[in-house]
Amino acid sequence: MIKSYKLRRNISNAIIYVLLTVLCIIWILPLVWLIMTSFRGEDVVYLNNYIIPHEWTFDNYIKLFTDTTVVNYPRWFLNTFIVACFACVISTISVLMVSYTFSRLRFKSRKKFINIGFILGMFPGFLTMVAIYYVLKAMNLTQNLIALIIVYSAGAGLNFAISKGFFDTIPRALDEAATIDGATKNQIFWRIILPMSKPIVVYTVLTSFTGPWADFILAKIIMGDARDNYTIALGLWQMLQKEYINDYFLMFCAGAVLVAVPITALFLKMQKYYVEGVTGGAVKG
Amino acid sequence: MDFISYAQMNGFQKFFYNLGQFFVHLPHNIVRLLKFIGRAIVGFFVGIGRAFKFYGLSFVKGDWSTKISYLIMGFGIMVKGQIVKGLVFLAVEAAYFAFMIGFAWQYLSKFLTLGDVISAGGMDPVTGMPVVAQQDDSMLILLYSVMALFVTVLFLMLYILNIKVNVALQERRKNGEKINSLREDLSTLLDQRYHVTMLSLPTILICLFTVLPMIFMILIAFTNFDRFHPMGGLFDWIGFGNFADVFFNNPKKAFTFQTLVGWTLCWAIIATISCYIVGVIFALMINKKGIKGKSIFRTMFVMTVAVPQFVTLLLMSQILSDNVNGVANILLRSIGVIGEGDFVKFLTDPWLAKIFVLIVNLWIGVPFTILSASGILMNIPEELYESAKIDGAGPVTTFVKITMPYMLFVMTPALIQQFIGNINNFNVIYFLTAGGPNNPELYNAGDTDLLVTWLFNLTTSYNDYSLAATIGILVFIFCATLSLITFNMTKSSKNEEEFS
Amino acid sequence: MYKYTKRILCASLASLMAISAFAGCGDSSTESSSQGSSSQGSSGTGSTAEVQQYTVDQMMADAQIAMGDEDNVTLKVWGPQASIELLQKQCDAFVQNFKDLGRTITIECVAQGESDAAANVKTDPSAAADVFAFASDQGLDLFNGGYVQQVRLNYREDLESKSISEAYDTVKFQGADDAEEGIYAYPETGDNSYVLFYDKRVLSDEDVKTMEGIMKVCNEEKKYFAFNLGDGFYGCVVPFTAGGTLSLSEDLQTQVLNYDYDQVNAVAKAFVDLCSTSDYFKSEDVNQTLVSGFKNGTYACGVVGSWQIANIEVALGENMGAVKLPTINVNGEDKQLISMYGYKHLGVNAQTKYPMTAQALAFYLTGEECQTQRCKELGWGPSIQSLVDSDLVQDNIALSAIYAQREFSIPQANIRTAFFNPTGAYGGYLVDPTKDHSDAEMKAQYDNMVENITVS
Repeated sequence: MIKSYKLRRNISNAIIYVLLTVLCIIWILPLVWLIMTSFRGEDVVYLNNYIIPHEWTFDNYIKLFTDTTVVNYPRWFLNTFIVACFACVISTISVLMVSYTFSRLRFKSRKKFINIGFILGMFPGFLTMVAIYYVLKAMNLTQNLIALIIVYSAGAGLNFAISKGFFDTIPRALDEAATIDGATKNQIFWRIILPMSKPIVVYTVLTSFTGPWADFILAKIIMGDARDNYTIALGLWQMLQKEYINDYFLMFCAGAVLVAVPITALFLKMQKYYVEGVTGGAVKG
Repeated sequence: MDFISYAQMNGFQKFFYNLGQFFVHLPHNIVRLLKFIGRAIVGFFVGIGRAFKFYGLSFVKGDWSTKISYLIMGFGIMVKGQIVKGLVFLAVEAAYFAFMIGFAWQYLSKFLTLGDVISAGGMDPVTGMPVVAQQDDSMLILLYSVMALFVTVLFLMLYILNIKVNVALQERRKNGEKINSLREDLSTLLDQRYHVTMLSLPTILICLFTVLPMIFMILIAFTNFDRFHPMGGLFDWIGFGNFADVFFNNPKKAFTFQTLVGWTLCWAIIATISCYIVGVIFALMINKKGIKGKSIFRTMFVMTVAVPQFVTLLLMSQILSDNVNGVANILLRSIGVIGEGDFVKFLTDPWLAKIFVLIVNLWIGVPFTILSASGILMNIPEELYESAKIDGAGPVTTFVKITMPYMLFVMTPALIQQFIGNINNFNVIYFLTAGGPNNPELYNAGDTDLLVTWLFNLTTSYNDYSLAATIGILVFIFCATLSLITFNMTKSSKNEEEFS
Repeated sequence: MYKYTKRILCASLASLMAISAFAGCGDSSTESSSQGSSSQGSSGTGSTAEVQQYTVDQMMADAQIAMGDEDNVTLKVWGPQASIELLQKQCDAFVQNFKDLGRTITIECVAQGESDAAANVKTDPSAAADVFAFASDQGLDLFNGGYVQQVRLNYREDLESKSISEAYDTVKFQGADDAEEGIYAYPETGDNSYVLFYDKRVLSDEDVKTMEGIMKVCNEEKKYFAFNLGDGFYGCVVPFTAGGTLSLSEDLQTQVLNYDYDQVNAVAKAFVDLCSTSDYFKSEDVNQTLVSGFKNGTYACGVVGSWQIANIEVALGENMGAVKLPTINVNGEDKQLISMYGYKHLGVNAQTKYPMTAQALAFYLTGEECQTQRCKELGWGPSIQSLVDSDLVQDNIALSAIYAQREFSIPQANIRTAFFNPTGAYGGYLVDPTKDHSDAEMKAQYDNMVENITVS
């Protein structure tokens, strides 16, 4: 009886191993394709029916950093990094401020604020891109990085739901005890709540830092023809346009790999915080 | 249905029961929502009425410095001892009038007509140069008018605050209470009124870059700002014309709208449910006891999340393309599934394209579900399983009775979020098919176009701004209603009440 | 009032300078524009002498006047990436002419593809380039929206006399004041169309004359023939070959199709019989496949535009052949395929701060010497008739094939964007083997196309 149970378990485990391996290959294959293509030495347009390059080379990577007249990859990379850093700091601060306020402070029309914020958060930002462009233009901010930082971080306060859920799970008794000890609400926020909220801080930092690396819609309309201020996503997208794809496809692959590496590393490192963030306070509660 | 019979159901039954309940309660909830909106509107006007009453009464009761404050903001506050605060109010007033006179009035004054032609064009016979017709820029008039109205509302609020502070100070003086120094005032911002400190910056940013553009977009929907009324020129108010077009007036637009609403809902439902089910199954397999290398498997799947979406999606569209370089077709041909010279139109046949965007979406979306589902699975209390084992439950029973209900309980809010996210899922469609294959029966749209991609194309390629704005409003109303209803139904908001 | 007197002053100055320019013709060409003289030498036929040409000097004089108001001019020019280096050189040459006169002009050339350019101009004209290149399919929209400035009177006659007549017609736009004959852009190239490119190792000169000949070889050799009928730019070949033409309603808002169903259907049937039965006829985005297909030998031929010439030359080398489109057998009669013929133009932004200088620049950039340079260095076909007739074009296989097709084409003018998708859908339907091609269905598809184009 026990033997057959073990056998059955082994068989089912074996099946699962096989299944998972196959599925992993399916999931990972396009990425492998991308990486392999980035090392191709032979001249090809687009993907092809083989994965392993006939001729291995680093040229595509080297060219990204040396041949910068048309495709100024290092500059774009730097731009994106700068934008991501600033946007990340501003977003994180405003998300934490808003969610802490909604979660732990009690004031008049708090409920109304939460509902309004919730509804506004439903509105996809790019629907208003033309208006945003002209608001920025009125402030004389188009075609530069500050505009992007503002656009990526201005609405961040609306994404308070997840971190509010997290703050909700921290026992109220902590605040009360601190208040009795004479701490102001400001001190409570900085000295007590924030240190306890590492997972949610990391989650917010992670999501707001990776955003600018992927968006190209807003970047496209704001940057227009100012190529020196392009972000990486916009630049890569441009390399796939009809005019460029024939000459730059391999460099596109190399560029995409280079963006993916740091983000993937970051993501894998911070995975557990991400999970805690996505599942909200639920996992803890 | 009582609690016991609910508790006896298995996970799927519960899920469908909840789903059913959702629709059963839908009318009731919509009514609630409408009531809420109605109350909000009534409340708004009552508030304004109160403000006026307060305004009048305070003037009658106020002392001389308060009365002067009705004209010169902050005057009374300065006289009553709070110099800096009073100066701030005064500065606000000065800045407001400078802004209105120096900048905003030229636009706001034309808000109702949206501008007119100032001079005609033609050719200058002397220089041989064309004379450009001088006309107002309706779009800027609209945008800056909205901005000016915004600032005005803000100013009025501060104005009322000015009076309130005056009255409060007067009251304190009369009662012989101490008047706060600046320092004391500031310190309340870090404690009793900490919410003001915390919310002001995000609120300003949100107003400027979310609310203001949104109101602007909403107003655009009531104009005829389209490709015949170009950027930088004139357009007019046309009332509800665009909405009429979308619903019945213009058969082609109406047909397109209906078709796309149908497909968008289909897409959102199938995409959400398929990603959820497949993701949970994968997560279960990875987290099964006795499977080694959990983290390796998980990492493999998660890698696809980390690569920027548009890169992977463009890659997929290359792989699935039906031209000679389409890798998928080459593979099928070399295996012999399809004949030499044949090809499968993965992304260009109307039906296949719909199926394949859903499949690729699975590829994109499943790792997210795996991530969160794994987290939840690891957190299911071990005791539950042990007690089930003691009761002699097999793996299937434990799954149906314990795992599934638990997951559903935790993930329902996330699922609804995902559903709304899918309605607005721009990336997958835009990068994979760009809405195509093109369908000439639709108004500038293709077979896989969602409402959002349609509206994006209308804006960027066809300059149909007003139509795009109209659709944007409709999508927004739908999503907001849905999420408000579900938000109020889910536990999270109730839990919060218990907590507070 | 002040402005008016200033203008009169300017005008008199203009005539004065024009006279002095004419008087000093001999030495001024050596002094101010050495390139101008070289271009005259290269075109050489002397046609310039007969038609009264608007000379570079005259133009400079004009621009000089204009700059009475326009001091310290800064202009931005948009052109495709491939041309940007040459464009900047040409702009610098333009600026050089003013240096001696003590004027400062700064011109910045920024890469912006032609299709993107129009879209970006429409999004924010004030941030767009002062002078930008666009393809003729965008013309109507740009004109309707008032984004492009009317061409200066003084240049009109010159442009009319030297340009290919259809190129000139495409910048006129129906509905513009007929008495004034106003034009709204400067023709820049005259080759924005497509012909048949083929691999000489597979197809003979005789084969490529007819669709039937090509298909026969392709089926035998198992090699592809790419012709993207699913795209309206190519798909319009079907109705055009049947004698169809296009026009616009008076308010420019509705497309009028002068098609005859029976004739269109006859041509359509010929395509159905020939193409939808073969595995080797491919209606697909040729830009993505043809070049690599030629490279790896899977393609015998394909119909594609001039923008791929350079790539195809690399892929096929001396085996590249290019001819006008073939004929197709309709009810026993060989009918020449009629194509759509586009042009590229330079437009002057209606909101430019320096209209005079911008117009002078556009005129200069589309002038003979600049077009010659572009033809030599980039392989762009000129829009100036005398250059088209010269050896420069005639010795080039691909370009001469394209210009040969011009006779059998309909110029891409007065076409609304709503024309393309339904036409492409119809073309794609005809050659799709999986579709039902019964008479009733053919009629339904045709009606569908017509309705979708004409309902605005």
